[in-house]
Amino acid sequence: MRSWTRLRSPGRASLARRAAPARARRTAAALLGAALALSGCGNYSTEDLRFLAALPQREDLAFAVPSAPNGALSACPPANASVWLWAKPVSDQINGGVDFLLSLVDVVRSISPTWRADDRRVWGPFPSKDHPGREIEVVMDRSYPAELGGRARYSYAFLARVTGTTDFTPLVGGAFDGGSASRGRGVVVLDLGAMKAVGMNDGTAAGTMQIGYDRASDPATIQLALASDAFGAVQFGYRYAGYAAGGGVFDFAFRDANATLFYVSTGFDARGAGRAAVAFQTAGGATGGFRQCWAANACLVYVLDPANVSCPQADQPCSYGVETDCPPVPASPF
Amino acid sequence: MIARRALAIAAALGLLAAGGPASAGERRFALLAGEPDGGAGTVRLRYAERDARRMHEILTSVGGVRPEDARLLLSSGASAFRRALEELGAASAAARARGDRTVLLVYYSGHAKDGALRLGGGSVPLDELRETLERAPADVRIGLLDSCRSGAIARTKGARPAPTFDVKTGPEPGPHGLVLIASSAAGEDSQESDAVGASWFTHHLASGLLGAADASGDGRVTLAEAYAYAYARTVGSTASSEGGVQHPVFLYDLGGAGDVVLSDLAPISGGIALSAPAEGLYVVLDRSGRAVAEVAKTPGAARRVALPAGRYQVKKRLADESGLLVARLDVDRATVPLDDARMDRVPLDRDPQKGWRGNRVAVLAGAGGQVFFSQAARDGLFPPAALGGLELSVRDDLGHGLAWGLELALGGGSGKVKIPDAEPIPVTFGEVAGGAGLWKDFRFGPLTLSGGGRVAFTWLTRSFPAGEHLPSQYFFTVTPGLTGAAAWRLTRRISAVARVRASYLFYNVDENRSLGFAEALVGVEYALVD
Repeated sequence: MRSWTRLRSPGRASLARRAAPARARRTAAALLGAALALSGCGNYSTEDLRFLAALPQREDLAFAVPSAPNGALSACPPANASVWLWAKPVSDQINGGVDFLLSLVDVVRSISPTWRADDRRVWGPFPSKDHPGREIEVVMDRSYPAELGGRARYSYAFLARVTGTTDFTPLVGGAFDGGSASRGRGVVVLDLGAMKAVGMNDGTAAGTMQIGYDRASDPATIQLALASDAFGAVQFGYRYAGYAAGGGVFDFAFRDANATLFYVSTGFDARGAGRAAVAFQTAGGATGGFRQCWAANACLVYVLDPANVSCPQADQPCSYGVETDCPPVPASPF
Repeated sequence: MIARRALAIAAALGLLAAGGPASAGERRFALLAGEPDGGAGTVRLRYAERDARRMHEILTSVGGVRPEDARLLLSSGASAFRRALEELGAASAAARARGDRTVLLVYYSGHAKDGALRLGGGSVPLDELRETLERAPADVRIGLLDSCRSGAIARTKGARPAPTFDVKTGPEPGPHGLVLIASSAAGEDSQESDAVGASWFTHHLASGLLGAADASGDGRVTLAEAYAYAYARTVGSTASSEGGVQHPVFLYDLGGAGDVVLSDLAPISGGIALSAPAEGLYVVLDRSGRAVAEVAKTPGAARRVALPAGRYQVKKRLADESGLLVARLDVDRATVPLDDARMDRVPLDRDPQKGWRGNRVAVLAGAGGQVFFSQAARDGLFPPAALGGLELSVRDDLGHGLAWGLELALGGGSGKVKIPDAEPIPVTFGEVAGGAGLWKDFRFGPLTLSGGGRVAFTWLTRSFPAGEHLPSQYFFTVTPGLTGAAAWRLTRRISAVARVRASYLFYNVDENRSLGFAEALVGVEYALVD
């Protein structure tokens, strides 16, 4: 638990203590008056922008997988690729978790810092709009570690407490290296258990959600680790890479209605065509895997599923095409 | 002493009954020459031409001279002078042949040296001028010379310095003969005055002709009244001057009955009227602040000064030197009574004759731009912005040529905030500033240069249209600075203005930084009260 103390200006304190002659006092008073008269007020701060730029935004952490043009899939023989169909809902769940995290982070974007120092910004404590009876305080620090060669590192913590209490509980912690989230690399951790402790979530989620992201080079990568099932997604280390030229990889996991757990590694090109390798574990403990490839319109071009896991329905083949029909996809950076 | 002597002149003349300046059957001809250049060894005169123009205006308005019978020569030289004199003489002869009485008046303002009028590179000997006038075919010939040592023209044939002289009277129906009046004695210099924008003698003669010399109060100014007034006022005005006292002289050789009426105020119904008890020196100034008439009023008789329609200021210096009485008058076709009690009492430094023209209120609308001196400030905080401004200025309200004004400026622009290792952030910048300024005007004809200080309350704001995740920001502070302007007067009310400001801004959000910025504004100023 942390608490924060406002700093006092040493200059004013020493001025008040000094017993100066009347003339000096008059001069000091005149100077002080002039300084006060010329002192401005406001939140016009470029440094604030630098601090805010270090916080991730939706587009920085989004898992952007291929989706159907205009939301409609084309009918195709023999069928749509099941992996393609699974990927979008899972990415939506992951992105929902990211949005939840960012909804906490974004509160600082609508208010000015309460206190500024050269390398620190503090917002709050201020009442939480979404959680009555709770107060939030945000602290951001900046440093210039040697290993970054003079570039900035930002670390931040979002804390909460029940109004009227003294101790804050960290909900979000993070660090970021670089000038802006869209160009650097960082990590942010959401403590769902802590949120539960202060009564700021529905109480069903627990553990942590940790996101590491690196947008300093191509491809931009995002790794999201759920320590427990949350946001409809299963506990897993989700990974996403997106290339500037289009295409990327998406590794995800999900559990189907039969409680079979799938671990999927996909790659897709700029048009959306892709290939996947899937491992599964049934509720009974059986394991196996299969491969699928699909075209840009999400239609299967190849499948090899000896365990018949991906083809429970009659119109879905368990073996189709040849592997050479699979599109080339970017290599995984992970 | 001077006043008593002047009055004695008028009394000696007997205020003889006289006809109007150009009564029925009388024709008047006038040559008026202003010659600032006296050739080698002389200094160019500043007001000679204005003197001639002023006398021309007076003689053609209240002096009975028809415009077509007047010749105004400005820097025209000796040949033109002789030619014009010859033409007017011929015209007078023709008029006399038709049975008219005629008056020929020659007025000259310029240099005289070594017994001759100096007209540019040429000269006209005083003896020649006098002989020409003596022989001129006119019943009355009048020479009015405002030039150094011009009294020599009278001395050469026995003229006497003022004040006493005799007027011959006889059985003839009207006056006839020669009158010569010179602004200074043979050994004296004639002086110009920047204060009145004229030579002293002409200034007082002109004032007298407009009514100041009308000692009898009959609305007509005779030759004797005009001379007496001009004599007294010229001696009084130059008594303490560095150039020494200046004594106008005359040769008055008139026969016949009556005096010559030089001006009749009746044609100009407009003017100002001083009541009988009024006492003191009243100076009438035109819109530009130049003296057009000066009345040394003594108690006893009312006095009217004829003035063309227009706006005038009248000032009177209080006897105890504690201040001035000033009145602003709009003269149309009626005579405006002037009463001390209705004049404003103002400090001496608000003397309208010394440039004080009363409060002048003007509105300036303009557009321009603003830029901060520091490149870092332009990139990171305050990008260059376009400005539009309104300014209300009040001049001549504080004395000492100081003016003050209130200003409001709105501005805005767009740019990019540059942050290390990050994409530049598009920004929209806005500004509202309201302030007050104090400056001093320096006038050079139609050009006015100004310099002074100003202080403004400045509200600066910026938003980030391409980034909804970034909140709008503002900064409010006081910005003192310097202001300068150049204004060119296009019309009486409208001026083109270019204004430049340099201001200081103390920025203290991220860090304490002293910043400077410049604003340039061009616009049009309209005088609401002038």
